[in-house]
Amino acid sequence: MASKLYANLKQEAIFWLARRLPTCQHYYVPLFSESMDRPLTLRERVSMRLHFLYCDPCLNYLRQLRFMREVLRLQAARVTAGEPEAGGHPGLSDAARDRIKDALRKNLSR
Amino acid sequence: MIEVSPTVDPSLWVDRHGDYLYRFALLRLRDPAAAEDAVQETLLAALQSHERFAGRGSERTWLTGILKHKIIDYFRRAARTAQPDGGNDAWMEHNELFQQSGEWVGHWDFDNKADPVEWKVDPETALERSEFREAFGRCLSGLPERAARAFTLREVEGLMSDEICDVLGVTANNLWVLLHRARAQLRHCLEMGWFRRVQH
Repeated sequence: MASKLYANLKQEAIFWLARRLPTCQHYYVPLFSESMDRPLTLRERVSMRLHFLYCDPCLNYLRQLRFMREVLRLQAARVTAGEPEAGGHPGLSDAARDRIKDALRKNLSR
Repeated sequence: MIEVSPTVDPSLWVDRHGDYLYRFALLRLRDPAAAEDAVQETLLAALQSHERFAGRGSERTWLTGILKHKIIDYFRRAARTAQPDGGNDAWMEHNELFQQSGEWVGHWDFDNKADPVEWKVDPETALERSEFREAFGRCLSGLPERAARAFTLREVEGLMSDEICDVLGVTANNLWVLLHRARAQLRHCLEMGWFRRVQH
C-alpha cells in the first residue's frame, strides 16, 4: 500500500520535473558534447543530474561520448606506433621514401 | 652547404622515423599525399634547425614536435581556403531520433527504437575485435570535412577549444556546434552500425 503510494508520488514528481526541464534534443544532447570541451556551469551540472533521474538514454549518450573519446585515443596511439593488430597503415611507400631522401640530399649539398 | 654535426645523420631519419611520422600525419590529415608532404617538410625543417636539437632528448620526439606544427599549419591553410559560404557540410539533424510532437516533444523516441542504448563493453575490449575497428574507421571517415577537422584537433591532437578556434578561424560557439555534429554522427553510426547489431 505505502510502497504503491510512494511509487505514484515518485512518478508524479518525475513528470513534474520533466515538464519543467529543457528537452533532450535541443538542450541536453548539445550540452553533453560541450561538457567534453569546456567546464560546465553549476546550473548546467545540476540540470544534467536532475535530468538523469528520469532519462536513461541521455545518460547512455553521455557515456557513449566518453567511450568514443577513449577509443579514439587508444586507437590513435596504436596506429601511430604501427602495431600490426591495430590495422594501421604500414608506413611510407618506397616512392615517397626515395623522394624525401632526395629532397634531404639536395638541401644538404646546396 | 648545411653543416651537419656528427651526432645527427639526416639520411637515417627517413629509415628510422619516416613510417612513424607518416602514420602520425595520416591519422590526422586523412590524406596520403598531404601526409607525405608533411613528413618531407618536417625533415627539411629539421635539417635547418638540427643544431639547436644537437642530440638532446629523443630524436623522434623532436621530429614529432616539428610535425605537429606542420599539421596545424595544414589545418590553418585548409580552413582559410574553405568555401566562401562557410562551407556548410551536409548535416543530418537526426530528428527521427526524437519525438516530434505530443507531450514529450524533443525527448527520445522509444517507439522508434531510437534511444541510445548502453554500450556493454569497455574501449579496450571493443578494440580487440577487428570488426569493431573497421566499423569505427568507416564511421570516422564518413564525417563531413569541417566537422572532422575540428574533431581531429580536439580528440586526436588534444588541443583546447581556444587553440582550435584560432587554427580554424571560428568562434567558440561555431566550434562547439561542429564538435557536437561530429560526435552525434559518429555516435549514431556506431550505435546503428555496430552496437545494436552485436548486442541483440
